[in-house]
Amino acid sequence: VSWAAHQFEIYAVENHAPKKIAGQLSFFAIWLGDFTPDFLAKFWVYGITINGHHYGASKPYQWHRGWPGMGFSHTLFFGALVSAFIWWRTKNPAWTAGYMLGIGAHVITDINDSIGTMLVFPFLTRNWSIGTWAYAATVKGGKYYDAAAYYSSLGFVMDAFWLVVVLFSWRCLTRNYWRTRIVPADARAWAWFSRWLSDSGLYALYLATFFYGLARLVSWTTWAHLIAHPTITLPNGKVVTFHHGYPWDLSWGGPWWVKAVHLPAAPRWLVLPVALLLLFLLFRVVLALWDPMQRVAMARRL
Amino acid sequence: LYVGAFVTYVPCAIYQKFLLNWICGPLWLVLWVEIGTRLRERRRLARAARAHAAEAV
Repeated sequence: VSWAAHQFEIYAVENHAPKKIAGQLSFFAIWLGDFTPDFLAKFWVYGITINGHHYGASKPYQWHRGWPGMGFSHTLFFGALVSAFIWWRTKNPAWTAGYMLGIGAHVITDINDSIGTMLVFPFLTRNWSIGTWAYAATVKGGKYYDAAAYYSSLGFVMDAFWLVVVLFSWRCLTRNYWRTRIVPADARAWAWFSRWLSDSGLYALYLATFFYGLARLVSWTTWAHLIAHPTITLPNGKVVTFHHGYPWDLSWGGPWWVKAVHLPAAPRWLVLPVALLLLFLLFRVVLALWDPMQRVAMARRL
Repeated sequence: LYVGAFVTYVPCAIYQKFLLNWICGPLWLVLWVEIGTRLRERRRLARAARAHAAEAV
């Protein structure tokens, strides 16, 4: 599970797109692509409790990332299927490529937790993970425990890293950038929103995901380390209440106080090379299809 | 406006965590900026109208 990293990476993907497609991807499509996997899978991961009865996945990690389960929503294959559907319905290269890159970013970022994603689904249903931090969505702990674990581990560093990446490309957050690069790439969508929002409101809509990511990072970290009083079972079996928030653990695979869960996994040494190779191939395919898609879109307009 | 949205949202979200979701967070900013801009514009117009009226008198 990555948290604010998914919000920040949208801006990074748009801003660091290869020259050929730079400034031509739909921001909304990247957003939707990055957002779809968790939209489909995460609600049932935490579930809901009504009148004391919990409705949700009995094995959240299996449901979220495994097969059988909703793990297919976190795969490049699923992204390709939805992108093909978008192309079939819209013949819009900005949306098709944007969606694929958005979901690609999400799928590859999520290999960092201890469950990972099924990178080569449907050819292999094993999960690919480099185990940077512990997957912590549990039936008992719910969203709070998951957030506390993430923001006490290298997950916090991951969010901070993506924030720094975006801040280094701070121009992508300016009004001028939005007006001259983001809006022209998807003028119809922005025109649709302009029925209800002024120019300032539209710009705020562009920044809203960044705002939410930053607020999420600050809020959960503050709660987890200043406000919460968790009761944690130590490795020696002793139960201790921490009065100053959850303990930090920035070691690989942390935090130590999360009980590790596993799914059948690919060899860890293979994960990073395969992920980088797939990322490279993803960009190659998008770039190779870009010109043919543009030709079809142009022919349709004439 | 943006700083205002942030410093109001974060404390509210820390204590009312249902606000920490992908609908409430982005919506908070958009509404804050949209309503803030409109109020600011209305105040500017009212001030201009008052100045105009005073000049006429």
